[in-house]
Amino acid sequence: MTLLQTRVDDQTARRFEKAARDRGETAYSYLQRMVAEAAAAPAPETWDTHWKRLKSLKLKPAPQTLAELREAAGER
Amino acid sequence: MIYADTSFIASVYGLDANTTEARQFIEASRPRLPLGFLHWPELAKCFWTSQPENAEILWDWVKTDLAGGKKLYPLELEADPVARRAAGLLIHYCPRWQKLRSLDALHVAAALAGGFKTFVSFDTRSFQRTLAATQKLKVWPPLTAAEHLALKSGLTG
Repeated sequence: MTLLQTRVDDQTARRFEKAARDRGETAYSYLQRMVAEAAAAPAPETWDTHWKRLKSLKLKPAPQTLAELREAAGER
Repeated sequence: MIYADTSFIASVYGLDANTTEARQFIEASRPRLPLGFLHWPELAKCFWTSQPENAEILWDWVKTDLAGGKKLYPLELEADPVARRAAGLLIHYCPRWQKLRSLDALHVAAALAGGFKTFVSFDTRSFQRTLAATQKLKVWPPLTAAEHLALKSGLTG
């Protein structure tokens, strides 16, 4: 039994080890790289920054709302 | 537990006549909004019709936010029970509200199936929001006078 198998179920551990082998890595080095990448990834956007980003897109106001689009298309 | 119809999400990610009102709601309630199988086709149509130059950017933004989980999260519902529930609503209400669309009923049915308490939609032009009110969902923005009248007739008709 590997260290990984003591932390997650056997099938998950085997799949992870295979994924690591397929990438030419050991399970440990692959896990280290995944953790490092996750730590370096930008935090998910929240509503706090949403409107600033929307503004930065410089969108033209849509001529119709979705409700108007639905009606114009004659959707049933 | 808030269910937002596509009309609300389109106003949040696009720029239309309802965007300011949508922002007020978001800032007051800071919801995590569910995004399910009904939203995708309508969002696609809306982005590529109303914002064709930026549609890809908006589409990717929604997908990224869904993966991030802070603003949106995947709503996983079985389609068949939702569709059957929508059919039941249509059987009962479409004879008197002929502008009620199948997709309107599907959104309301999805909100009910997901156990949501609040239904957010800007579509005052059909009877979608009134239908939600008949099912004891709290509707935002509040029903218009015409919708209240329809609700009364729907409940007593």
